[in-house]
Amino acid sequence: MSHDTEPASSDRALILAGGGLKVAFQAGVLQVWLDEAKLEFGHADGASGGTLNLAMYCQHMSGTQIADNWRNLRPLKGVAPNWKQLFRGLYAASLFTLDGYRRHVFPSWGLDWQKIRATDRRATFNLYNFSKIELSVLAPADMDENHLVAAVSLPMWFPPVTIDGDTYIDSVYVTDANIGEAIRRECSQLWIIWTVSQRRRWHSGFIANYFQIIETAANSRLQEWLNRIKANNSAIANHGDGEFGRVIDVKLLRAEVPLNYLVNLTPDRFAQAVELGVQAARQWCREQDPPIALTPSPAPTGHHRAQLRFTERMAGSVRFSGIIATHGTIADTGAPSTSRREADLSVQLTIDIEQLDTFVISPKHEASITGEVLCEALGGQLPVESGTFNLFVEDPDPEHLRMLYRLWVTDKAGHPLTLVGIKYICEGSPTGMWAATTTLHLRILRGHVEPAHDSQAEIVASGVIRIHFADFLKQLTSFRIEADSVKGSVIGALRFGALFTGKLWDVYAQPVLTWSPF
Amino acid sequence: MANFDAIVVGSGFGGSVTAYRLAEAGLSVCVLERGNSFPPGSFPRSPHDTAANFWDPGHGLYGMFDIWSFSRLEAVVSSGLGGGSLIYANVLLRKPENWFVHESNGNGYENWPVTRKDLDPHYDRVEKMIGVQKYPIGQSPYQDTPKTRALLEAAHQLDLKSELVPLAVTFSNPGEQAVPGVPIAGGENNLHHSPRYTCRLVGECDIGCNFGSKNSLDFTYLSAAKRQGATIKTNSEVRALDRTEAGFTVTYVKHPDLRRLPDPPVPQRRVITASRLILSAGALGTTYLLLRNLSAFPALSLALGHRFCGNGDFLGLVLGAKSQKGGGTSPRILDPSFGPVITAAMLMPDELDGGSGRGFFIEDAGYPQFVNWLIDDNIVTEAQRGLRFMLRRGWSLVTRTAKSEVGRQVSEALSKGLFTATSMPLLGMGREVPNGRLILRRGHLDLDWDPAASRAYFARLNDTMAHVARELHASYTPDPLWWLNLLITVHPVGGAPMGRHPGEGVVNEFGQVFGYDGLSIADGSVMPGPVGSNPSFTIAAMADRFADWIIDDFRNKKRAKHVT
Repeated sequence: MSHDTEPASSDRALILAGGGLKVAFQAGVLQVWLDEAKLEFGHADGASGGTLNLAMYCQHMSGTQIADNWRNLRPLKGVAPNWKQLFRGLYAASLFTLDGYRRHVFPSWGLDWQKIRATDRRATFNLYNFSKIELSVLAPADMDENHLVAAVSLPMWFPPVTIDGDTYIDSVYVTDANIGEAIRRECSQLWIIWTVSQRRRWHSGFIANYFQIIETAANSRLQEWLNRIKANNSAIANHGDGEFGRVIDVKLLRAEVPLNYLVNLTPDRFAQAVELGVQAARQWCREQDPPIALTPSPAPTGHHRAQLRFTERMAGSVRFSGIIATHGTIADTGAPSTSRREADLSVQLTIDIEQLDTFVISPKHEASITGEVLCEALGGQLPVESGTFNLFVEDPDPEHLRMLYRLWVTDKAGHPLTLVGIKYICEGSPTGMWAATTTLHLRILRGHVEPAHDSQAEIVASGVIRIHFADFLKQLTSFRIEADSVKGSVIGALRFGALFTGKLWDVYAQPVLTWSPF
Repeated sequence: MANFDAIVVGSGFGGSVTAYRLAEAGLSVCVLERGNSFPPGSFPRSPHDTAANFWDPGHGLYGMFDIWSFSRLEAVVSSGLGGGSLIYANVLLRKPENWFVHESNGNGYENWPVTRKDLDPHYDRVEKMIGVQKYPIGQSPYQDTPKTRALLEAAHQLDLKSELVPLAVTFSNPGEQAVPGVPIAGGENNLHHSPRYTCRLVGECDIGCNFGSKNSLDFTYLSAAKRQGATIKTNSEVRALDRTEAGFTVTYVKHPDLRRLPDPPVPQRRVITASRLILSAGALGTTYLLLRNLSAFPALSLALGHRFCGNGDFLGLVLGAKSQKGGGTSPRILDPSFGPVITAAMLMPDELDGGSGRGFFIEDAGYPQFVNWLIDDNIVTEAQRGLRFMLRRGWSLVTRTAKSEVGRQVSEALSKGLFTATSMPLLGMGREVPNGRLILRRGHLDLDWDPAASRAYFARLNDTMAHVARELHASYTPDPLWWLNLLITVHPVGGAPMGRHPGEGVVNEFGQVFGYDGLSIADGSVMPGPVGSNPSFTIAAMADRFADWIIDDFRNKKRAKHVT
C-alpha cells in the first residue's frame, strides 16, 4: 500500500462487527478513531451488537459520547426475564426480552430515531429475515427501534421480532460483518473492529455451547472473507484482475474482551471494556505504518470517590547473582560449596489506592506502595522510596494475569536498587490459586529502573517471597476504605471485591462461565 | 570527576606499601584515608584533647582510636594517616615458617596459600624500607631497662626461646651510637616536613610518638609514595564502592580537620574513579565496606566475613614482682614505663614446630608514665595519706614547729609508687582458632564468634603468663575483662580471607578478589587465620607481594593496548 495513494475518506469503510455486549470495547475504539484520530468513513456497517454503536454513529454522536454511553450502562436495567413464557418450560419463546433495553437503556443513551433516519452518513444495518430467507441490509432511513431490537435478537435469549408480517432475528449466523456490502460500495479500505472471541477453547455446557455456535459461524465467515481478499490482493500483485478488481486493504483491530457476551451484572466491567478499547486503539494507531497521529481526549472523571488501603507482608529469600564456586567447603562454618549467597528478605508494604474509580477501570489497575524492605544482607531496614502496584494486568491475554510490584529503595551504602516482583495468575487447578496469588517472584536490579529498561538492568539477586497464612489473615483485617459516605464505602468495598474475584474467575472459572459476570 | 590508575582505601600497612609500590611503578595513585594526619607533636596528651581522640564521626569525633564493640570481643584500631603504625608497638616479627599451615584441620580448618619462602623477599624489602633496630640493651642508658631483663630472664627459666624483637624505631643514627633524644639525620624529609628525634624511652608508642622516633608509615612508605607522585587525601572516609565499565567509582565523605574548631559543616560526598581498586581499610573496615556494598558486588565469595579472629591477643598482668636475695624478699622494680612499649618476646612452640598445642608469643607491654600516676596517686589511694598529711601540717601550724619536715611529709603523702613500679602487663598473641564470622545486623557490623574452640589455647597462654609471674615472684591476674568472658584485641585479622578458589576465599594468593577484575585487597582481612606474631610485618609483606602482581598486570595490559 503506497503512501501517495491514500484513499479518500469515501473509500474507507467502518465495520462494526457484532459480539454481544462486548461491543462496549468497540465504543472505546470509536472514541479514539473518531475523536482522537479524527478519521472519517465513507461507509459504515453494523451487525448484531454492532448495530447499537452504528445507530449512535448515525445519530452523529461523538466517539466519546458513544463510549460514555457504555461506561454509564447499568446492565441490570437491561435484564428483563421473559416471565410470560416461563410456564412453557422448554417451549418458551425465549429466556429474556429486550424490554429492559427499550424502556431504560435506549432512552438513557438518548437514541433519537428521527435524527438517525435523517442522517447524512452512509450506513448499513444487517438483520436476518427468517420469513423471506434473506439477509436484510437496511439504510438508516429504514431503521427504527423495532428493527434495531430485531438486529440484536439472538434466538433462545430473546424472542424474534415480527415486522410487517416477517420474522426477524439477529444476522450473526449469516454475517457478523457485511464485508461484501462494503466492497460492493466501492470501499477499498476496511476498518474492522472484531470482538468475537477467537480463543479456540472449547468449554462444555449449554451456555458455553450456545456462544461457541455463534463464534463458529461468525469467525468462519470472517475468515472466508479474509481469505478471498488475500487471494484477490495477491492476484492483483501478480498483474491479474483479482476477484474484486482492486486491492482491498484490511485494517483489523481485534481483541479478547473480558466481558461475557450477554451475562453481565456490574457496570465496572463495561467501563473496563471501554477503557480497554481506548488503550488498544491508541496502541494500534501508534503501530500503524505510518503511525496515526492522535489528539488525546481528556480522561473521564469518575463520580464515585473512594480510597482503599491494605497492608501486605511477604517473606522468603533471595540469592545473589554471581560466579559459582566449583569445589571446596568452608569446613568449620558449614557453608555450602556451590554457592551463590542466599539471604532472607521480607517486605512490609501498604498498598494505597487513591482513586478507586481509576483503579478499577484502567486496564493497569495501578496503586502506589509505601513500606519497607527488610534484608540484613542489603543493610537491614530499607524504606520504600517509591513503589507501584498493578493488580491483575493482562499478559498476554485476559486468561493470563500478573500482579506487578515495583519498589525503589536505596541500600545502606547509598546504591539505588529496584525490586521487581511478579505474581503469575494462570490457569491450573483451583488449589493453585492460593499459591499463585501469594507467591511473588522477585528480582533485585541495580539502579532505580523503569519497566521499559528492565531487560538492560543488572540483576543483583533473585528469589521468591510469599504471603504466609498468618500474614494473610492480618492482611484481610488491614483493609481500610475512605469514601464520602458509608454507602460509598460499602460500594467501594464491593467494587474492589468484584474486581478481585472477577479477575480470578476469568483465570480459574472459565468452565463455569466464560468471563466473570461481575 | 578525577580518575586514577588505582585508588587505595586506607593508609595502614597494606595501603601504604601498595601506594608506594604502585606509584613507583608509574601508576597514578590516590590514597583515601578517613583519619587525620598526625605530625610529631600533634598527638593529644591533655585530658581535654585525649577525650576527643576517638573516632565516631556520627558524634563529631574524628580522633585516632577507633573502638569496635561486639558481644564477646572489643577491638581497638587506628584512624589516621599511617593507620596502625601510629599506635602500634613497632614489632616487626616474621610469621614463623611452620605456622603457614597447609590444610590444617586441627580444631578448625585453616589453609595458607602462601609460604614463608614466598614471603621472605618481601619481608626483606619492607624491612629495608621501614628500617629496623633491636633494643640496644648493651649500652647505657638502655641497659637499665628492668622489664626487658625480667622477661628474658623468665623465658630462660621456663626454657622458652626468647629474643630482643626487631623494632621499627630509630634508636641511633646510622653508624653512630644509640643516644636518646637526638635529631635523626635527614628526619625532616617526610610529608609532615617535621624533624624527628631518636627514642626517648617514654613508653608512649601506643598513644602516638610526639618525637617522631617511630619509623611509622607516614615517615616511610607514605612520604616515599608522595615523592613518587601519589595523591594522598586525609579526612576522606569511603562510604560507597561501585562498578562501572571502565573500573570503579568510589564515593567518599570529606570530614573536617581535627584541628579546626568544632562547627562541622554538613559532610560533602565526593566521587572519584579508577581502573583498579585496592581495599586496605583493615580487617574490620574492609569487611564492613564489602558487606555494605554487596549490591554492587553480588558475586563476592560466601567466604566474606569468615576466618576472623583477634590474632590470639590476650593481656595479663604481673603484679608486685619481688626478688629473693639472701634470706629475704625485696620489691623487684620492673618499671614498665621505661623504654618502648615492647622490647622482647618469648615463644611457646606450636605442635607444628614439634611442641604441643597451639603456639604463641609473650611480649613485655609498657605504657606511658601518666598511667602510673593514675594508678598510684589517685583520689582513692591518696585519701588516707592526704588526710594524714593535712593533719600533720595542721599540727605543725598549731604547735608552731620550727623544724621543717615538709619535704619528708610531702614525700610520705605521695605513694611510694611501688605497686606500679613492680608490676607490668604481658601481651600474648598466637595461633587461636579463626572461627569468627563478621556479618551485618541491622545495617551494622556484628561478630558471630564461639570462643569455645580457642579455649584450650587461651587457657595455656594464661597459664604460661602465670608461670612467668611466678618466676618473678609476683602475683598474676589476666586482664579483668577475661572474667566477664570478654576479650580485647588490637590485631583483628581475617574477614576477607585468601584461598585457592572462591569456595575457600574472597581473594586469591595475590589479593585479587575472585570474580571482579581490578578489585583487590591488601590488609589484615586477607589473612586466612591468625598470623601468630605481631601482624603488621606480615600484612606489609603481603601487600608488597600483591603489588608485584598488580604492577605486572598493569604493564601487561599497557603492552596489549599498544599492540592493538
